[in-house]
Amino acid sequence: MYWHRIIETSSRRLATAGVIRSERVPGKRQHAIHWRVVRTLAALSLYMSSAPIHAAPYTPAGDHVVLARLPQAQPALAPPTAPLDLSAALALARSQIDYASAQGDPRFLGYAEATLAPFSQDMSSPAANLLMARIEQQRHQFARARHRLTRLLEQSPNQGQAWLMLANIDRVQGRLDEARQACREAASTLPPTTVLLCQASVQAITGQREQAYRTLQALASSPAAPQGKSAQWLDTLSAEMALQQGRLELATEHLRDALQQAPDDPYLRYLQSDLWLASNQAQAVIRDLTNWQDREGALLRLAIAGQRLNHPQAQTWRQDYRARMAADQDTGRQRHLREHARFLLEVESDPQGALTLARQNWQQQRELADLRLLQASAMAADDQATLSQLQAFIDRYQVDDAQLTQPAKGASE
Amino acid sequence: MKSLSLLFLLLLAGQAFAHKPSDSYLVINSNAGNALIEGRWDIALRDLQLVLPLDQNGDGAITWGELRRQQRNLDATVLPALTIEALHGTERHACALNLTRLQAIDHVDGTYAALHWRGDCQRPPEQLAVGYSFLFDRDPSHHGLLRLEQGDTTLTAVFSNQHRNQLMGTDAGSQWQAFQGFIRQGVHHILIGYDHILFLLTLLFPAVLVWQRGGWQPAPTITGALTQTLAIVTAFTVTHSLTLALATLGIITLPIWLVESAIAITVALGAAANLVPRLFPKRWVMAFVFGLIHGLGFASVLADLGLTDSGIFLPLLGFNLGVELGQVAIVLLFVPAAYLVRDTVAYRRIFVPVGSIAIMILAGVWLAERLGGA
Repeated sequence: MYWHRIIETSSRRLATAGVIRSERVPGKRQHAIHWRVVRTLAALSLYMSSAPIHAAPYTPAGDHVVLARLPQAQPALAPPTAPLDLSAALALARSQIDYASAQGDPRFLGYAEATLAPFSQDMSSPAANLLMARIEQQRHQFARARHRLTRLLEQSPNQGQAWLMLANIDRVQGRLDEARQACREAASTLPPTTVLLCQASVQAITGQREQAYRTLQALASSPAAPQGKSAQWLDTLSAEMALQQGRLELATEHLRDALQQAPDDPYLRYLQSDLWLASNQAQAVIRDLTNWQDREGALLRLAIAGQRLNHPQAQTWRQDYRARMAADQDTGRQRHLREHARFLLEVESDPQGALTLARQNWQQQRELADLRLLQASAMAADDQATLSQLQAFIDRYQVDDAQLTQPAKGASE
Repeated sequence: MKSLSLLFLLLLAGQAFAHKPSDSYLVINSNAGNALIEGRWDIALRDLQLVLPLDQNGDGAITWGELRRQQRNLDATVLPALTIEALHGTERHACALNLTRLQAIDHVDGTYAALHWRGDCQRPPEQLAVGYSFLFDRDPSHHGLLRLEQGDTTLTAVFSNQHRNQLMGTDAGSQWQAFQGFIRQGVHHILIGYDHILFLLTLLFPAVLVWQRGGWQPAPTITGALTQTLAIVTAFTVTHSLTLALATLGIITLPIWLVESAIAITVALGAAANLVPRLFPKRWVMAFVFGLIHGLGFASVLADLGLTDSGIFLPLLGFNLGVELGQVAIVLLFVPAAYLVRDTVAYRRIFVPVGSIAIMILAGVWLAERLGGA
């Protein structure tokens, strides 16, 4: 591949030097002879190549060839000029962020950042900073988001939404006492159901799962049952708690309720796939996610399911996911430590590599999924030190999860 | 039916591209001692659409035609987002960048525009100061991935909104590395300069033969063949080195079209000599005389490498050494093979005359082109 490029550059060089004139008489017979001679000789110069080029540039066959399709939302959500007015900017940024998370397309987070740039330099606009914190959180820039929210709350402590986001970040990062405290702080400005959901999400992993689950079910059947996003949140939490309890069918039921409200929510669809994978229904994963191959989360689950079923596409999915992770690493971005570790463990059968990434991920994210992954990697790589660190975390917060493997539970006994 | 759905799946797989953050890929090739740099910049079409109205008909699809029609704008408004300065000692020269060619290239998340460019830095850079400011106002999370290739060394860097400038360079300014660079260029240009090779091979066709009784006969001993080869190659080397030096030093200057046309004539005459050897009894004399012309041809290539007046000796020596190395490689490949088959009728009666005639015709075509092109 590389020598094609040598020929191109060299012939261009020679053409300017007047050695090759063939470009002036395209299509003639001698042209072909020239090129054959050039190619043969250039092959000799292969040894001079320094680095391989992975994909070679090409000239498309004609003007009509479609090279790319723009996302349908691009004209509306990437307008040529950013709004100068705050409320218009907030509305646009919100749509951009929603679109980014619904489609798993991080470019729109960048556009939202640009939209908010004039208004998020200081804390004068809490709304702009809340949206910026959402962007940072979605990019897993937790420290940055947390810093922004803390500054915002110092200035305006009655920003309930900011407390809620802070609680979520603390929970995701395993600072569970702080998370509980932040939920409590939100109570003065947010509706009680929201605060209840916030508390339940923390209780579920701190030894009060059964109690939290009962509270949620009581809330769901009460006249004060939440609507809209909160209802979806309630069903999602319930599904996760059922999974945590090892009741996969119950989890599926709750998830079905959540999916009814938001059939294309990536988080829910991936949770669904993980449930299917946990109950040996890999075929269902492939049926559900085949149209979503442009999303990394879907591709990961397709690769896992494909491998289990010996699916004809399995290798393609595996290669594609590998290529995307490699592209990410080239940029120094590490957006998908959890998913990448899972890929190494379940698809590549590389427990050592999986453990390395799972440990890095554990420094950032400490949800149940991260705990399960780290435990599975540490067990596969037989790393007792990591297992006992995990046990310390489990003991401290009294984590109780049926998806964790027993030996870890018994390790300290 | 099953295979049909499988086919459909495969088609889908081909269509599906990842969503990833916005990155562009930039490669810079810089050769030691060379004031010209070149490279390629791959930009996602989705990203280009943000700064150029690619999708003119608004159908959400970007075609090759729509991209091609923006070539002028790419050169005028996109390429300036990339600035390269050559650092040479305490001097700083801005390299003038030009779009030389537009292509397409596939990356992991879809098709990108491949912008081939070329830059003239006036002086061979010891270090490169690269500035990058593409797209940050539209997408602050955009990254530019730079790979700088200098000879055998590859350096990489990442541009981001916060890091828009990179100072790159090895000790490429070192004389030895520059010298190696010129040797490589010399080898490269003899191997790629097919008219020189054809001339040499034409002269060598009969090196393993002797002309007797109105026809080619196999040379009785290898010594004879080697002596002939050595005489031809040495004569060619001596004279082309001489004119290469004279032309590079500016003592001889001839128009390129004239030199190139003369080279085509030498190839034709070399081939003619194989057909009527009586007219050209001493092949080494021919190599000696025509070598003068070929040396002028090499000089035009050396000049194109962007040589400046600083230190002309090492580049010249290195380049010439490279040319000789390449030439020796060709001789070592051809002569032993020719010696092995010299007994065969096919070689003497078919390969030599038919090959020579073909070369004559090709040289004639070149001559016409080169005279016509001038």
